[in-house]
Amino acid sequence: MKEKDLDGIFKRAPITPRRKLSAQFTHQVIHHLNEQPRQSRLSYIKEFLQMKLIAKPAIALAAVIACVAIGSTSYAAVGGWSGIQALFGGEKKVDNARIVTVDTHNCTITSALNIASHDKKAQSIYYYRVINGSKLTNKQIVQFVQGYCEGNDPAHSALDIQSELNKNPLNQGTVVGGYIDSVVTAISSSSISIRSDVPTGDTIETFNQTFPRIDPNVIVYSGKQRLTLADIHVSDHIALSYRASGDALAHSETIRPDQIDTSAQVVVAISKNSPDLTAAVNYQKYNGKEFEQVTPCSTDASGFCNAEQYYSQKH
Amino acid sequence: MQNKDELELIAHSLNGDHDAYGVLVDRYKNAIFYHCFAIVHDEASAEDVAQETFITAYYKLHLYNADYRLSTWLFKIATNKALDSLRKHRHEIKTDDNVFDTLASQQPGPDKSAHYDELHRAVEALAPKHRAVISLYYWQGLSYDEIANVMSVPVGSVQGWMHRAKATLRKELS
Repeated sequence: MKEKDLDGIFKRAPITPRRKLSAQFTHQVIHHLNEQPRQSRLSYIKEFLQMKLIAKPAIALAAVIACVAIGSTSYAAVGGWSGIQALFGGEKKVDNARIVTVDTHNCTITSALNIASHDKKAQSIYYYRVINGSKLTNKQIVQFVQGYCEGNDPAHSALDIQSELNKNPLNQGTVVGGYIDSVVTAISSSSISIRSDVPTGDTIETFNQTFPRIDPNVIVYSGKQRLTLADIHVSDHIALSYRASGDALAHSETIRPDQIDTSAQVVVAISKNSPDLTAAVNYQKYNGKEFEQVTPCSTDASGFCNAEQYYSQKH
Repeated sequence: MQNKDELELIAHSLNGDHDAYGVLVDRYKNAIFYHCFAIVHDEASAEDVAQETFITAYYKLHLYNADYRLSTWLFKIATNKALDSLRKHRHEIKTDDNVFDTLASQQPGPDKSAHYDELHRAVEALAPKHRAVISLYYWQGLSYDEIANVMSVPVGSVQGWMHRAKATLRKELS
């Protein structure tokens, strides 16, 4: 058979299933999503995006509403990362809450409302409504934003790790990320034990795992700095990746840590988290409960609307 | 690059709008199902893999790069899942001879049905990733560059797989 014949036959005769998809196919997919919304799943570092720092259309600084600064206090999150900086920009009292302004510099936003853009804004301003009675401080809100910006920065080591992992054919399609922020409870040259406090619905569950196999060429980073396994110590906050098999691979999206047979997984990468990123993960549990991102608007008596709802309607 | 309508559906999906995501599922479900079937050769498995594909895509949607077609990204997820499914169930999947009868009956001319039958048997005997490449190239209309993206390999590997697949088929059919 000539090559030309093969081409022609293939184009005319696709292999097709004997029956159509179930009429309930789309419904079943959506039903599954309703049962397991994004917020409850386990995530890796890049999935920090779930925190949804909503990018807004450019707002001239002169148009920003006046916020009353508390004394001369100026909060800057600790750490610093690729020139990223989140600063306290002021506070304004509104009914039953306070509005905290955070000025950011060089913060990259992958907007949930503009997914095509990965903008690194020289300067952007974000507003948060913190309900009265919350113990969250303005400094913590600033740190939340700083951690978010670091977690989403294109220069984050997650991309370097991914690039290096892809060089090994064994890793093609097999690497799964652990929880975004775990604490090292024991470590040796051949095994690592971690504790993960994972939000699941309205509660936080603690999972302890021991991975008895570490790849001899394990990739270790802290920020943009390449480290070695010897640089990881007990009480460090990390996100690890492992070459998965079994259910850990087949159900990597939804599997709980306590359902993973860790003896069958091989740790291939460890990313040491910055204090800001760790803090931001912890503050995430308050998001939508004690605080929310808002944006100036004229449709709410307070002058601020929920940012996600506001921009969803605008777009 | 995506059209505006699709970008809006993706944006709404990212904001938790399941109805918007349902529109995307409806738009691509048949192509994904057919592609999965071309790899796993079992309707029930193909439907399961297609469903897993759309569920995974929803959870990973924020990682989708809109510089590429959404369909290419979906084929990437589907291909990985279909190949994983084959690895996991390779001892369970049995050849269903009836499939070829049905396939032959769907072909344009009765005089060619035996020929197609023979061809499809030969295709099924190919390595799974070779079947995936043939499905993506001939039946889903992807370019070699797009297939390389889907399979996470250099374009040269795709060309090599295609060459080997055709060589195998020529040998089987000669």
